[in-house]
Amino acid sequence: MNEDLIIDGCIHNNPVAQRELYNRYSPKMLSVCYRFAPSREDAEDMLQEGFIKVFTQVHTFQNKGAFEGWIRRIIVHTCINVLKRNKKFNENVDMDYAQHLSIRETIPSIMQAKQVVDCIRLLPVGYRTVLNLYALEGYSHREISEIMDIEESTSRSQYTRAKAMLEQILIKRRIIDKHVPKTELVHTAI
Amino acid sequence: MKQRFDLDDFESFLSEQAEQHRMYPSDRVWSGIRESLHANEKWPSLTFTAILTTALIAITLTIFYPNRALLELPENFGKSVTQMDTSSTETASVREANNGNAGKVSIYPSKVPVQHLQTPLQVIEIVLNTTFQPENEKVLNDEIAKQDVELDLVPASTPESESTGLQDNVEAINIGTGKENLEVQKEDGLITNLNYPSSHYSIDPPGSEQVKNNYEALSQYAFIKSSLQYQNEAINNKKVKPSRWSMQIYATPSVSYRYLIEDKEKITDPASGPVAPHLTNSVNEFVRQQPKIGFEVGGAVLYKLADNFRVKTGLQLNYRQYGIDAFASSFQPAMLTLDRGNSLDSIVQYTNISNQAGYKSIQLSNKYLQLAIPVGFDLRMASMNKVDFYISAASQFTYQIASSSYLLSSDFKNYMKQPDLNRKFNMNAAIEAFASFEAGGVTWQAGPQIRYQLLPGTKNVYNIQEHLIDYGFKVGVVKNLK
Repeated sequence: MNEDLIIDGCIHNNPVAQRELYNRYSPKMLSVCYRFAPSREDAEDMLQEGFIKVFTQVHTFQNKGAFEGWIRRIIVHTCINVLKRNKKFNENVDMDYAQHLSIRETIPSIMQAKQVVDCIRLLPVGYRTVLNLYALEGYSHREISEIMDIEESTSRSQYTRAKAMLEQILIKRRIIDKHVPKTELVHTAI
Repeated sequence: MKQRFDLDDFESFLSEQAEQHRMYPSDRVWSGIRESLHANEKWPSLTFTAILTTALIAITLTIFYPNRALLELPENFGKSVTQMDTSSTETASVREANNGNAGKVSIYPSKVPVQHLQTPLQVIEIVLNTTFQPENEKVLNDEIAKQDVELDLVPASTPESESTGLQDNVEAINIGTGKENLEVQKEDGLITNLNYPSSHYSIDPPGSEQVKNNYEALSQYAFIKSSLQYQNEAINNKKVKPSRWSMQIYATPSVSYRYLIEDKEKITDPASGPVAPHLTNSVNEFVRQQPKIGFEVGGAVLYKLADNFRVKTGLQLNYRQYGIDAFASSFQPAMLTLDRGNSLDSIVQYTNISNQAGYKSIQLSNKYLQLAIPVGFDLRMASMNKVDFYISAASQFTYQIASSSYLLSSDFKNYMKQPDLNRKFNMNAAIEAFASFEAGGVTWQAGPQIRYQLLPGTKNVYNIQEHLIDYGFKVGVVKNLK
């Protein structure tokens, strides 16, 4: 089923088309949610809420840009709204936070991507959100400040700290070596 | 948001890794989405089904129920029909029957249904304490007409009434006035007719002595007729014919099986997509299934058309399930090929349930909850020592209330859930044989039953058709309606 047919079916509330859309994009979108959410259950709740918005607003999609990008924006905004509802952003963070993380806390994983995502999720929620939005979702600091109701300068400083903290975690977990360029990143044993 | 090109190596690394990451949501996510989007659509169907069922039962009972008098009291029950003149003289018989309630003429319809009587006479009690006045003739006639009573008054001028000798089965009873005799006709000891051979039934001028006498005689006739009828009814109470209508409730524990039929043309047609062109054996050889216990419970209304034949309809709930042996595996894509008439379509879904291999054996359960309206008949084949033996068959219009089922992928390698492909309305056929006997004032029945689902459990677009078959043992109780 091609994408146009799926979109048309979803506009007409066709359950088969809706399921096809869900099957196609839910694995990637759940990964997005998982990077924002404190737990897998919360991520699934975000995904569910996000897809309900997708299906109820699909008629507003105007074929400007990729459909996946449109879905992703809705999912990301849903994640942010859920976090705002739960007032998760107002946490004081100690920069020594990463030092307290024991290497034993590493969850064995056979995939580097999963390890990286798990490390992102170890960040405090405020840092994690800014990092997700800036580095992974492509939002500017100005857009992030509007989305999260924070100062633009706060977004910048949080991102800088988040990046440094994540770097420490990745080094500690031996996913990357310290201060090495991307091409020399260590690919952990599978 | 826009594509950013100012990321450093570290940021690019993060982005690259994050984009590769995939997670597969649990079933509850889609269930929640589906519930949110389509939950309201279920209720109109259920409501429609409930209304339709109620309407069918109501129409059936309204049109075919033989005696509505069972369900309601007549409007004039216990009420005086008309106020009568009490100045006239009473006959001895009437006085005894009145028990002192003077001054009224009351006509009470019987509580006994017509079809329960052994005689063709309608039972009617006319309690008099006076003779009729001419102006009340119309009241009496109207009331008699309303009660559908036939008074077989035979004029004296007819040959029958003028004959000096009565027939063998007719006896004369003196009704107390000394003037008139009442002819009582019997068959097999039961009263079949009453004749009052009066010679004066012409309407005379109001107030005349003749009219007065006529009504006095008529009153006595009606009273005796009803008294005899009551007596007759009491004597033959045990011989009252049962109603043709009865109610039944039943339960059927059953085990469910299924067999699958694949559309080989689509499966072997390369244009169908990446299915399983090498598969030439039946799909049933690629699945391992286990029967599981289900049940059906319901109630029915039965109508006896003949002594050995009755038709029935009702409402029943079916719960059927069976098990599927499978394996838990890592997530992998699975495809369902859909035939949309002019074109072939497919649904790809990630699933962690394999039909071939995995790291752990699991058993899936396909479960169905259905509401059905059975329409069928019972035919009595034999009777032996107070036990009747029946065969029965019924068609069941079925609505699927809820289900939890796994579908086999088109290459037979995986199982996945796709509830949108399940068929909501279906048709089942059931045949059964049972023994029936009376105990405790009701009729019990028990016997084996086979039920087969005529249409596939999934919509026609899915190329593997599932047909369910249930083997059960039905136990029921039937109560005759009075």
